[in-house]
Amino acid sequence: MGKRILITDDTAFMRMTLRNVLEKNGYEVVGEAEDGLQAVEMYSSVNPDLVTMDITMPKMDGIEAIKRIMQKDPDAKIIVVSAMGQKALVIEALNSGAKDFIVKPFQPDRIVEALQKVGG
Amino acid sequence: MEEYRDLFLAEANEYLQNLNRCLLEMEKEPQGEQLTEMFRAAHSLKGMAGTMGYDLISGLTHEMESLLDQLRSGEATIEKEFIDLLFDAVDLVQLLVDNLENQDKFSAEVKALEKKLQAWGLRKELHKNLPPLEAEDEQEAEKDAAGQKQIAWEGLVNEFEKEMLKDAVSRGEKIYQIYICLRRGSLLKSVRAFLVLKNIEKQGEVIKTLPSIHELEEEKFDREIFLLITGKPDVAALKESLEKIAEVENVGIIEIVEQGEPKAWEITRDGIPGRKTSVMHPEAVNEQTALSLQDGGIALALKESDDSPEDISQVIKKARSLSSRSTEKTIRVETAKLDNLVNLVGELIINRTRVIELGKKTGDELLEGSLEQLERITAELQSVVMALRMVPIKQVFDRFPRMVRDLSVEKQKEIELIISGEETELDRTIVNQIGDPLVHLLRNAVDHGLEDREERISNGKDPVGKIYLEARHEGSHVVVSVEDDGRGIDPEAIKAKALEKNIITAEEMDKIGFEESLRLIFKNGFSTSREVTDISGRGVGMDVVKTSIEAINGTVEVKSKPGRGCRFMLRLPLTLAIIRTLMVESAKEVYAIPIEAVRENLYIEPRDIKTIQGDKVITLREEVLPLCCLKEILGMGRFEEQDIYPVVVVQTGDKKAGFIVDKLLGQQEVVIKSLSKFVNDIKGIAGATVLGDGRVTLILDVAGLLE
Repeated sequence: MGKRILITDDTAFMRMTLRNVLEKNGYEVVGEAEDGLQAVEMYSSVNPDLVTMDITMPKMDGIEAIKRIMQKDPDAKIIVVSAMGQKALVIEALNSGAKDFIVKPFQPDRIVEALQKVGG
Repeated sequence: MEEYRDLFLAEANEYLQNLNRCLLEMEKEPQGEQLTEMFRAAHSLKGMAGTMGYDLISGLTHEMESLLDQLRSGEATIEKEFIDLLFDAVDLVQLLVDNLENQDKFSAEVKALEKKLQAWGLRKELHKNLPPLEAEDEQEAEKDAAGQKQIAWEGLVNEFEKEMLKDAVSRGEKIYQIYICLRRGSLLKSVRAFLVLKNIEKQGEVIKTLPSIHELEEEKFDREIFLLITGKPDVAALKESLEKIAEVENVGIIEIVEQGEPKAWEITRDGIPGRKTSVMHPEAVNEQTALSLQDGGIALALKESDDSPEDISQVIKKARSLSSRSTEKTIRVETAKLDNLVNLVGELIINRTRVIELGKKTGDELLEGSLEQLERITAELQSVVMALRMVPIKQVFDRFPRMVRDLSVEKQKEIELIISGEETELDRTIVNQIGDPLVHLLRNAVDHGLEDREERISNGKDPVGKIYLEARHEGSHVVVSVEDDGRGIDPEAIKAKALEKNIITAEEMDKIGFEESLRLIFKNGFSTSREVTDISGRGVGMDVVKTSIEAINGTVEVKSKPGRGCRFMLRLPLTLAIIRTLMVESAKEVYAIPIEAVRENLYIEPRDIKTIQGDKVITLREEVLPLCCLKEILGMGRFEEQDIYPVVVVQTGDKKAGFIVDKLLGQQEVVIKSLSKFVNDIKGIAGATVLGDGRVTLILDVAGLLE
């Protein structure tokens, strides 16, 4: 049984790319959130093992979403998937409780490795 | 050969400045980089001098070079006398460079110093506290990715960090070195490093990192990070948690074992020539590294070191290429060419304005369109050319640490010079002209401002006097300030002196306030120095400083807190070549008044004009201003009765006045053309400019007019 993952990204393309990569590597994508607010709601309903989190998103950004998820579940395993040049934001996300980060555009094996390291 | 001489001089002076700077740094805290840089500078000087046939310089720099080389490989010690000797050598080279024509008269000195340098090189004393080249460690890192090698931390940690290590050990904590290697092509490495630090900090305290935290933040590193930490971590768990971080390829944790009370960190390392004193204690033998007590100090030994002499020379080569990498991509251009370019651009802009005015008259839309384009491009060209003339103020500041050091030795006062903002850029001509005034201000600060040690201690001050030299932008100006924490200026002493020198009268003396009394020091013929010393009191007073700063359209201010120190602020324009002016008409001529000197414009009626002792004045917001007619002071006409007068209120320093003109025409940027030598010294005229319609206009020198 693969790990259950919630993908958060505001672009359909990125969600699809992530889904493809993850499913190929034996993960089970249990949800796709389009913004931070959805991610927070879905976290409660699907209770995933791992979350990937974009930072800049409409409605609620990734940092706020991380804070809220961590409040609900201090053991949540969230990995930031950020664009290049968002150094300050990524640091803020890590300080808010994210476990690790990867940088877009990513190589498939990198994200899988990162997820394995965080999710065990 | 002659044509190369200027280039030689320019470059040689640069190298000498580098040498001076490195020596000063070394005096504070010896670092491997300084040696490398000094070696390079001496080497380059030798080569250049050799090519030019300056045998004395090349001979002397050769001795410096070989001594520095020995030092780098750990065969000489860095001691105070040694640094002084190098200072002497640098001075002598400077003397030779300054006297290229008759170097021979110094040949005896050169020979003597060469002997001294050689003698020092021969003294193969027991070496101590020799810091390794930092680059050495970086290169080692490349050779061995296993993370099991030991960084020579003892040469890298400063006093404060040593204290932290000592404290940690006394708390029963251990010292570890953590090695992290990131994957190739890892992105956002700075954040990765942050994540690593964040993880480590859960289990221990990070004392030092290599590269430095700052370099990590700036992503100025390749893949490897070394950290020196203290704490009581669960090593296996820490290792695992670090390995769990994405993109981390390799983690190595080594315990640095120490015995006894740490006093000083000393390095002993196998395989490095002249440093074969590795002391291994039985307990430590099983460890990869050992930190052991030796003569009350801790020695670090590496058990399985594969360093060999060949590696060291490799390392030096690489270190050299590393430090040369930082050399900026620049080309040298003769300043005369640059000045010519600025002049030509000035002409271009004048002509542009004229062409655009003519173009507007034709009413041709196509023509106007392309003229607008022309205007944009020339404006851009102008700003680029102006930027070419800008040089960092560092060029001037660089010589001061050495100067202050020498003065502090001479005056036997302990002084710390704190420089900031040295990267601030100014027009080259301005930078060239503020050197002497700053020298004067700094000398004054050392000589008169700062008290001697005993006096400072008895006043409850830090025995080390501080001088702050700072440059910063302030609007369209650069402000350079010289501040000291000395005794400040005593207003009463100044007033008394001014009275003695007949600068003020006894009645004036009582009326003068604090601020005003300080300004007296700028008056001609004033000098507070009680005795003529070697440093200041050479007959040139603050009035010279003021005059030379005002000559470049700058101003000088002084502030003082008796007992606490004083501060001189030089407010300088960014550039001299192009200035904003207020154009006015007087006696059918157009004049340009530099906008810096203009306070305000107003229109007054005849009844506003009052007369005091036959001179015209106006009262402006309760301030009485002398009023003069521009025509009259320029000798171009006489004051005429009118219904309304346009007035320009001007100010330089503390002097203010109103100029009656015929018409206010508006602001304009003008290119300053200096007047030819025959008419150069006319008081009240700063220069000339050519207007868009081809008319020549004089630029007024307000300071001159107010006198």
